[in-house]
Amino acid sequence: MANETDDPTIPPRLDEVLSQVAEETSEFDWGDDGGDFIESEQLTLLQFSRGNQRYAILGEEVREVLNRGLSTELPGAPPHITGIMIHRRQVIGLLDLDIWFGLDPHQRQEEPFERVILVERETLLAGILAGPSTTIVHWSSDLLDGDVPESIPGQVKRYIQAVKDDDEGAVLLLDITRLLEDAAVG
Amino acid sequence: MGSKLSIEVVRARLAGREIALELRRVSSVLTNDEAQGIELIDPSPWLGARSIHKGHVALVLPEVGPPVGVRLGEVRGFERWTKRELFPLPEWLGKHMPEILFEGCGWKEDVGAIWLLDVDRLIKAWLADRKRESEMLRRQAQQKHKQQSMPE
Repeated sequence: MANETDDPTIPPRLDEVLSQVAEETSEFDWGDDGGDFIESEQLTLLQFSRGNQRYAILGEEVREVLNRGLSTELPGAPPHITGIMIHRRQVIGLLDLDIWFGLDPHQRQEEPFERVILVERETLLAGILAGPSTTIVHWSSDLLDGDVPESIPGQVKRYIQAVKDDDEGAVLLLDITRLLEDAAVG
Repeated sequence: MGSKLSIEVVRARLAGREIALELRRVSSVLTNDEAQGIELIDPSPWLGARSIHKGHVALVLPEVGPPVGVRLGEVRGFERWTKRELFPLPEWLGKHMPEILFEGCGWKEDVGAIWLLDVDRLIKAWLADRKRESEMLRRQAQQKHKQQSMPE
């Protein structure tokens, strides 16, 4: 580890600099705008749409909702990991639910304006691509005890914790832990 | 170590991807014509792209063995990056990265991610590929020889 010396003639090694940056930036850089996350005891969810389907995520699992900025494809990654973006000095991997759920490409809809929902489970942080509309909704916790209907395709059902029907159809509550374990960690 | 640490890189665009290589590992940058006769490694297949046979070549000194050329594609320039320009990938994303890249990237607002070539792992992967290829050729030759020597 020659570069740990202060000898200015020895250029630093990239891997050493990278691991140093990793240590220093293991937390979000919130800047000066605060950004404290207020936890709630209520069953508060973030509802969003992706194509024709509406999903919900428990509020405690949502870190932030962002507009989709510049992103870059990750070489060698499976298709459902559509790329990475940078947010508050963190690299965010982007997941496309349509692809992960094996939706027919013809059924997939190009979103004119995408958002990224940052979800977090333990040390794992990822961005889920969403349509432009996101709203906060409140569900009765009883809904979590209900069965997931058989009509939901098998590849989707595994990641659904609960379903709520309303005038516009079904809203699927995502099991983020399972989704991240399978889609991100693999 | 101080916070003013920086690294120098040669930046290039290879097969549609922005890449960078640590300058301390590069002894010179040659044109494709100048690199005739040098053993050349093309990182493109590891990046999910087709091989290219044009652009610039970085002459690299491996830790062991003679110099090799690494195809860079179109060189963008030489840059000094501070730690602010380096972004380590989270572990889960790193697992999906090709073996020849560091688990991190540079980032520029005009191009997005710039992938960091790990020369040592590239050479190792290339050598392993060559070994596999020669092993396959050897087996094919053995098989052919067996077939020819079998009595009819």
